[in-house]
Amino acid sequence: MNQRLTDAKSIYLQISQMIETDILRGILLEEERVPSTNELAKLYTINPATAAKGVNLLVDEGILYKKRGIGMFVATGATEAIRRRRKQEFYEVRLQELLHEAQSLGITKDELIAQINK
Amino acid sequence: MSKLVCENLTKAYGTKTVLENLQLTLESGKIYGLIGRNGAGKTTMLSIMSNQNPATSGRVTLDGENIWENRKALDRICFSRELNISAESGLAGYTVKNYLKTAASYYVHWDRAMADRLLEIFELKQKAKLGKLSKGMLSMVTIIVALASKAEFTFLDEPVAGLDVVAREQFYQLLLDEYAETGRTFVISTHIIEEAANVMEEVIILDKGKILLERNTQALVDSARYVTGLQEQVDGATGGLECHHAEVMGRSKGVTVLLREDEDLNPGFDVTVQPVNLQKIFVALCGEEVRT
Amino acid sequence: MRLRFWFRNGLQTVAAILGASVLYGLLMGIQLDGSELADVLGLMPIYLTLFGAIMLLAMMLAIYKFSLGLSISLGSTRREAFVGLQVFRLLPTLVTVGLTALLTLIPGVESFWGPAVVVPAALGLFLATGAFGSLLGMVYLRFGKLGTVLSVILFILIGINGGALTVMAIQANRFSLPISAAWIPWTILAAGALIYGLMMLLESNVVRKYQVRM
Repeated sequence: MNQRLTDAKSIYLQISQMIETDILRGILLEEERVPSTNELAKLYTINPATAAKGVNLLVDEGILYKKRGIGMFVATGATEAIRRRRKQEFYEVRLQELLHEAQSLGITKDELIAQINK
Repeated sequence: MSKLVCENLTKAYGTKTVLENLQLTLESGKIYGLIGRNGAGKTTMLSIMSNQNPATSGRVTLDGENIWENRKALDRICFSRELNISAESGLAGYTVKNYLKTAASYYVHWDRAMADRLLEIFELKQKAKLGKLSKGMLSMVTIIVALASKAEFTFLDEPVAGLDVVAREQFYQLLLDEYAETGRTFVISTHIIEEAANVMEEVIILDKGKILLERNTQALVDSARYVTGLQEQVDGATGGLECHHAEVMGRSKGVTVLLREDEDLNPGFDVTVQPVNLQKIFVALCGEEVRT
Repeated sequence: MRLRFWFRNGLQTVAAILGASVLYGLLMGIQLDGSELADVLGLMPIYLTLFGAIMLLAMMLAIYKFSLGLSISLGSTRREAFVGLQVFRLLPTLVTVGLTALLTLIPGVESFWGPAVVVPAALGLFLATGAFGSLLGMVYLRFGKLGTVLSVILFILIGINGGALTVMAIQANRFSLPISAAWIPWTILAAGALIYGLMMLLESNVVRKYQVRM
């Protein structure tokens, strides 16, 4: 919740990732209310529409859900869902980047495994 | 190498203390940034360092000599004040030309050709009256005085106030040109910190009449970390380090850490570590503690 | 000593005094039918003295209001500013008085008084008004606009009452003037010099402690 926004990528993406990270770290618990878009807007001095876009991204993924008239809540099973998705992203994106870089440096698969086991 | 030194400067207006026992050493050949909140005492400090205001106690020396009413020392110092001109001030009817002429009659090393060139660059009319100029144009006039004075130690008070973004970049380019050519010492106060951060070699932070910090800008930025995460994790990672401006929200905590040389965050904690820019360091040091 | 700023301002004041006097003299000359150049020139010493004294008084207020601070904010020392203030007052004084004396010496021009009267009297008047304007300027620095207005009113009241009392005293023949008419201009000069001297003492103190606040 205290993290800061950077220029590196879209603000709404950073908002949704920040909430995800907070859920993973146990800063936001399941079935607990998350800050409203207006609260988020004030916290990061951003436009409320941008904050809403970030939150809605998580609603679409089923990580947050709306309780009419009360606010936004962390769904049960959200932690597991985020971890599963980030794991998948890790294998599909980060690991691929790593392997690509290794290949261009001429690092063999065995060398790589040896490094990891070290 | 020349040194301009403030020794135990104290300045009080009546019962209000503006500067308190201030110590500062400026070395020649550097660009200093002076940052501080409104009312921190920036203008007062620069005024005393240029003989424009007397100190209540303490003194300013240039190479060991007191600068007060010292013609020889003052020939090496120029403080181009911020111009705030109200309609009733006598200066409102003064023309740009007259203002520059007056400056030229006091600064011995005045560079007339440079002043003329800058007038052209800024598209300022010599015959324009100061009272008719916008805030940005007044800033340009003060920039011209500062640069054309050719003084070894030159102070600018909010030179970019009211300037548009293009003019601000232009100013920093002109400043760097002049610096590259002459190696003069500049002190620049500004509220637009990030734009100036890469220009200032040293940063001076003034807070409530005291020097809070005076350090190499890059070293300061490199030493700063913004640490966030679960409160216990953050406390673990930053325990025993110089922490500023901690903010707690529920179970979450964010804190700015200034690492000393050879220091690092305590390892083994699940936290997010982000770099901190100069502006955020300034807020962490001078902003109010804990806000929600 | 860097006094260029003050010499320039002094010369500008000289130009303003000469300009106003000549303009006024010409206007009066046109109005008076059949007047000749000599008649106009005969009146010029009076115009020069009056305009000079009034302008110097008014200029001193402006000088204190911003020129002093301006010069120190642009690198002047207080010592230079103090000497500069004397230059600023004495330059128009000496030029105008000198010119007046020359005018009274032109052959064929009938002046009211000769140089022996005009020079000390005008000199005294200039010194007094220059000093008086400076005092008002210092009052302005210390007490602001309201203080200046109040002190002007105070001075006027003192002037009116003092004048009335003097006239009444003379009329009542309680005492005669202690000096002969020939000494009046020299008395004016002595009074002017005294006021100027006292003002200078105060001025050196005010300028020494001056703080730039713009």
